Parts: sequence; structure tokens; C-alpha cells
Amino acid sequence: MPSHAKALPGPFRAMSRILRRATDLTMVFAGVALALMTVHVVADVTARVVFNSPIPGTLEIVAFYYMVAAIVFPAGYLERRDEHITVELFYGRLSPFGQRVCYVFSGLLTSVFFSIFAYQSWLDALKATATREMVMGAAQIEIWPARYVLPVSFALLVLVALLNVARVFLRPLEDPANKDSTADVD
Amino acid sequence: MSNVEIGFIGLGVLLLLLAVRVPIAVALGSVSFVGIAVLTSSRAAWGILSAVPFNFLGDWSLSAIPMFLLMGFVASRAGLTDGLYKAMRVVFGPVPGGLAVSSVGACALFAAASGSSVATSAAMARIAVPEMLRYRYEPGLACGVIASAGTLGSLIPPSILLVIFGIFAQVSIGELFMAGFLPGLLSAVMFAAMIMVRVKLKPSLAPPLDERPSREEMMQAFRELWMLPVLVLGVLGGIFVGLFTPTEAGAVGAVLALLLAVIRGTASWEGIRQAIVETAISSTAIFVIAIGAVLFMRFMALSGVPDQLSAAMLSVTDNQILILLQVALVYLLLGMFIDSIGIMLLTLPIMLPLVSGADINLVWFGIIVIKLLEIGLVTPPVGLNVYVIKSALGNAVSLSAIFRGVMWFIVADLITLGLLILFPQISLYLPSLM
Repeated sequence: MPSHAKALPGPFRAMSRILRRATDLTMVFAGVALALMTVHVVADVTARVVFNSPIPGTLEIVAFYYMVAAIVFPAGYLERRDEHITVELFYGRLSPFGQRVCYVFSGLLTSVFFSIFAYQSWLDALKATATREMVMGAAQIEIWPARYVLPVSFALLVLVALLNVARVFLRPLEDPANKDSTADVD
Repeated sequence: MSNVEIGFIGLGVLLLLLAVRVPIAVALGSVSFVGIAVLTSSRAAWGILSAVPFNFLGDWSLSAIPMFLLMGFVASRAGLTDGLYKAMRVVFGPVPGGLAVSSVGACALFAAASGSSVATSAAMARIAVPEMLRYRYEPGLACGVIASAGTLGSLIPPSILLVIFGIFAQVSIGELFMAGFLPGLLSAVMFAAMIMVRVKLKPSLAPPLDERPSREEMMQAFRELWMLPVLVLGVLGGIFVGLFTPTEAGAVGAVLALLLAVIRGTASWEGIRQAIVETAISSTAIFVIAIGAVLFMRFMALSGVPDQLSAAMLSVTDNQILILLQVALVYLLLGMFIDSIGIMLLTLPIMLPLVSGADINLVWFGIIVIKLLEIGLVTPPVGLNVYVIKSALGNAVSLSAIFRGVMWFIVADLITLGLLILFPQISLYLPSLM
């Protein structure tokens, strides 16, 4: 941290703190889902192989609850830590100013794309709720609540991306890429 | 403007976005969304956007990705891979270039457990390279072996790349795992043979060790070495005999890794927590790209670009081997700039229609693509694995020295690739037994 950097404005710090907590929380959800999924699948295998009686509905619960929570919830966390898979080759050769321009452009495009996604998945979630959407498998399971994970996670991602863009303007001298953008805000 | 032209413009914009460090997921997704809207209507584009992610999540095979990632992260975070190098050294120490050959063995086993090339190279660089440098191994050899042998993780099952290929090509992941086993082994043997021949011809590359392992050390090595083969063979064996699906195998593998760590006395809550967080991050990063790739597949199919390209390629030749060589060239070129999961998801929407048009076996094709991606991980200028090693070692070795050392391994890899293309049985024999 350069010593001449001005303190970040209060509202920005507050927003950083909120988004850090929110993304941490979704990460906890994802982690719990992942652990439950592992245990559930192993229990199902054991029940099937040893006792020849699988746990009904495992497939559906794994696909529509555990998987959704485990791999969609971390979206905001991913953005916060800049863990997206990117091509670094050309970026690495740009001047610091060029890098900031790319970073801001990329952040804005990311926000637009995931806003569209969040909006559409929100509409889909409302529709699924209205029809009490379920899957027919070995067991009938209502899956509409899982639909809400998508808009919530993608909206969080958009907020974090916008925060990161704002940070480039507030701290034009620091390299924005490949780090946790909320790490130094207390 | 014709559909094909719009498709090619989309491809161009995509490459431009990737160059300015737009996340691959966002680049694929936004180009496809706009492209589909232009080709059909914005209504259709919104419709596809609404259908794709949730249906894709419902694909049972997809759940194999987090499960195998978890197994790998648990195995390394819980210390199963810690003693690997030391143990391998007891076994392979006496052969010419012993430490380098031991590194190949350790990398192969580590890679089998972790499923990730980059993770393997990063971990092994810190353990094995300083040892080799201490014994005055030539720095290029010491680093090259870790960079190259680290890539074995993509081929030796269980491998995340094989799972992703299976999902997109709609090929059985179990068959792909079986198909990857012998080619992975062959690659490792080729590396080891190349090292031994080079050291025999030029002993100064790798001075011999002046130590003989004691009985005690050999017992210790055995205690370290049984765990990972048990883990990997247990998981693969279960798939092979049809006891469980790949997803189930991954979950069983993660629990088994944890049990082995408890036996070994190195399991910890903190390790488990880290393994879970890393798994969630990696799975989500792969998931968002995969969604982008599904959209991109739709966009490409609508534009007719894959048909155009495959017609162009088939008009040159309908010889399968020549087609594969053209494909190989594309992957080697892309491998210089983009990491393997990215390339895989970028290219499959175009490559899959092409190879099914030429009637090429998709399991065999998958193995060859993965081998190409492995080579791409070490070719300059990007060679991701080379940079991983460079960053793990700091200023101890120069980048150009590592790339020079890697060259020999690329030669060995190209021979392996040739064998895989000429003899499809190497890949297809094991799956034929299932």
C-alpha cells in the first residue's frame, strides 16, 4: 500500500465490508452444501452396494440443491478474489494505465452480462415459484426454491464487480488484478 | 451479412475480449448472447439464456467435477502427498538421473490424486527442485522435469479435463478415465526413459547420488507409497467394474482420502476447510465458463461456422490421421496463450461437429485433445506450468533455462502423441474391457 494513498471514502468502505460479509456467507453455504453432498452420495452408494437399497431422490437432490448451492453461490466470492479464468498474456504486457483501462472495461462488461443473467434467472425463479416446479424422478421433489440461488449469486457478483471498478478510480495507482479487493478494508 | 460471416465476426470479437483480460466465461457468454440475438431474435437469445444454466446444472455428470476436485484438494491438504517425493527417491534414486526420474514418479502419483496439472507442478517445484539443484543437477533438467511431469495430471485419471470433455462430447466419463490410464502411463515412461538416456550420454547433467537407502528408509518409503495407489486404484477400480458412477467415485475418493489422512495422522479441520473452499472456487470458475461454452455452442451451431470449417478441412483430406494433425496444430497454437480448461471449452463447440463429421472415435479424440493440452501447458511463450514453477522458485532459475529444459520433454511428448495417434488401441483397449 503506497503511503500517499488517500483513505478510501466511508461509503465505499462500508460497501466493501458488506459485500465481504455477504460473499463470505454465500461461501459458507456453498461449503456446507459440498460437504453434505459428499456425505449424501457416499451414504447412497453404501446403501445401494451393501444393503441393495439406494436412498430415493439422491440424484435430484444432488443436482438441484447441493450442486446449485455448491457451484453457484461462490460466484460473488470468485469475483471478489479475482479468481475467474482469464488470459493474462497480453494484459501482462500493457502499461499500468492500459491495464486499468482493460480492467475497468472488463469489470463493466462482466456487470452487464451477469445483470442480464441475474434478471432472467429472477424471472424464471418467480415463474417456477408460481407453478411449484418439481422434478419427477424416483421421488417427486420441489425444486423451485433452488432457482433463487442464481439471481442472488449473480446479483452479488455484479455488485462486487462494480465495487472493484469504483476502486480503480479511487486508487488509480494500485494494480487491481489477481487479489482480494476487500482485503485491506477494515 | 450471411450467418457464417456473423459467426466469424463473433469469433474475432471473442478473441479480442480474451486478449484484454475479460474473463473467459464473460467473453463467451456475451458474444454468444449478442450473436444469437443478431442471428435469430432477441427473444430467442433471452430464451436460451433462461433455459441453459439451470438445465445444465441438472446434468448428473457435472457433479463429478466438484467431487473429484474435493478428492484432490483433500489428498493434498491432508498431507497424503507430502512424503511422495522422498519415498520415490528411495525407489528410483540409484538409476541414472535418479532424482529426476523420482520426480516423474512422484508427479504421476500426485497428479493422479489431484487431477490438476498446475497444482502438481506448484507443489512438486517446492519439494523436488531445490533437492535436484543441491545435487548439482542441470537447472533446465531439474525444472523441466517438474513442469512437464506435472502435466500428467490432465491424462492420468481421475482428471477434471476428462470429465469436462465427457460432459460436452456426451461420452461416458468412466470410459474416458479408463482410456486415459495407459496413455498417461506411457507419457510418464517416455519422460523417464528420455531422462535416463540423456544422463547416460551426458553424465554431468545429473551427478549420481552417493547414498544407499537403509532398510529403515525403505520401510518408511513403503508406508508412504501405498496410500495414493490405493486411493486411485480404488476409485478407478470401482468405476471399471461398474460399482459406481464417476460422481460417486469422486465422493467415495474424497472420503477415502480423508480416512487415509486420519490413519496417517495428518488430517486437520483447517485442512478440510481449505480443501472445501478451494473446491468451491474452482468448481464455480469452471461452471461459469461451461455456461458460456454452452451458449457459445448454440451460437456456433446457428451460425454454421463449424460446418463451414469441417467442410473446408474435409475437402483437403478425409484421412483421419491428417485431420487429427490439423486439429493438433490448432491446439498447440492455442496452448501457447490460454490455459487448458479455457481452450477445451473454447474449441469443443467447433471441434466436436468436425470430428463427428469425420467419423472419429470420440473417446480416442478426447485422449488426444488432452495430450495436446498437456503439451500446450509447457510450450512457450505462455506455458502455464513453466510460469508456475518460476513463481514457486523465485529467482533461483531463469525462465529461458526452464523453457530450454522443457524442450526435451516436449520432444518425448510429441513421440507419445504420435504413438497415440498411430495406435488407437493404446487408448481404446481398457475401455473395450468394461
